[in-house]
Amino acid sequence: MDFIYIVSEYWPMFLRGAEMTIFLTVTSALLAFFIGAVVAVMRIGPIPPLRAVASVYIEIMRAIPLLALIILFLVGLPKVGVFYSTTITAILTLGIYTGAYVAEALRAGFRTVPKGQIEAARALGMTFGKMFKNVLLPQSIRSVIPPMGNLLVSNIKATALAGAVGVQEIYWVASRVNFDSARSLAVFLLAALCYLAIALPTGFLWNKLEVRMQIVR
Amino acid sequence: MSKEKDFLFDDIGPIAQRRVWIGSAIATLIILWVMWIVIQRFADNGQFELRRWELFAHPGTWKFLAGGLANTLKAAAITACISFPLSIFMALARLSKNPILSKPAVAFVEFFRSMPLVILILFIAVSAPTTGIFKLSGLWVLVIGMSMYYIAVFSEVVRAGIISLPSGQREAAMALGMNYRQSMRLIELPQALYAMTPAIMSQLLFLVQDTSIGYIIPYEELLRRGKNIESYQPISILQTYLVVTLVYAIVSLSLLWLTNRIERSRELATPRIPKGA
Repeated sequence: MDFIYIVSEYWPMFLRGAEMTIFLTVTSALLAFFIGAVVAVMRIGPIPPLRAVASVYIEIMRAIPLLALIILFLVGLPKVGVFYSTTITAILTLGIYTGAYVAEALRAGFRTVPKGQIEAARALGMTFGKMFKNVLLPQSIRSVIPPMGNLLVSNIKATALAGAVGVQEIYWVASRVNFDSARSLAVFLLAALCYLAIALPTGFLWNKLEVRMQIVR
Repeated sequence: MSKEKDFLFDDIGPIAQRRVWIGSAIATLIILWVMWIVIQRFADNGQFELRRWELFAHPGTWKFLAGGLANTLKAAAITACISFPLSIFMALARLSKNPILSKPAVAFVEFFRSMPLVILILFIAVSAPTTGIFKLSGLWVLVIGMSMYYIAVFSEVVRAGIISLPSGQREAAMALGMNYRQSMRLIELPQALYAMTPAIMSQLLFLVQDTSIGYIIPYEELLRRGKNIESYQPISILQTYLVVTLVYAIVSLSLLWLTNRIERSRELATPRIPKGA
């Protein structure tokens, strides 16, 4: 009963929250993919200082809780004279955090390419850049699709932490509506269902992509 | 690292070597430039001033933060001790042929795994005290929420471990006259858990980091203590969170180091297959 009341009374708020969640997920995922791709290339490339920077970046991001990072950015950036809105800060933080995991996933993908391929490219006189573009990338892109799907789904869940610091997405809406209506079970059930409604189709579509891109042997 | 270097480009010739040198020089300059900008930013906004840092000269601050770290580790340890054993039963229930066992297990795992942990914990936090009979402290709100989630997560790891075993293991156990329970307990589970130790360790790292959600309940863990320091000394807000983040990084990196050590020692100690087996 409570559930029906909450849905009928507050659905526009939850819809806006869901829009915000999807917006955060998509933008931060694009940013994370860009950062991850650059860092992964830096990490496997031949230039030692770039390799060092990339591996330090990956290790540090893996070692810090996302919530601590979001709060650090949120309170820290204005203190050093960088002023962004909460939403932009949240997107930046999510992108920077997930980017490290994307880089790790890409690197693991690069390692699945057989050594003989690299040696053959070298024997043909390709430089690292050419080898990367023509040999390594096309062959490894397939094997990184499953881990990328997992990262995307966990990115959806991670946006809830942005809600905890004031971005108006589903989690934030749920805590507000709960305060308003005091029907916590129904409110949080609806919020959980909203996340499921975003995460499950994403996983399903990603599986389809996986099947499409699979190498048929 | 050296292994990978050999893998992607051994035998760098003199021309490529020169290119790598030039690239290194340019990259170093860019890195130093970026670092300089960051330092400049900090300095311009007075973040290096002594009055903002002197808070950390007092041992009391560190004692306060150490208490927060102890609470963080306590919550993580209790959660791990509750969720890991239960997750084994959950995995067995999900693998069971009896739908009365497996269907609810599937529903539990999929539901709690695909929901953000914050939602679950906030739900417990706002609904627990109102139910009356007993009040839950912040620690137990956090532990119960995280346990639900990590039972689901660990059970998937354990299940993957059991599935990946060759079917001959169970068949051999059956052939020796063991029943299902004996085969699971003596043959399959030990091997599955051994094979899955790296995955379990990496989830354990996430578990320790997820205790930072105690910040919202609030439970007095490390991040929340950082917030308390901030409200006590508002001019040191950035410094406080930098120190808190650094403490998290040190704890996690030591856990990562331990994981890597375990993995390396296992690489050396791969089980030897007797000749003729």
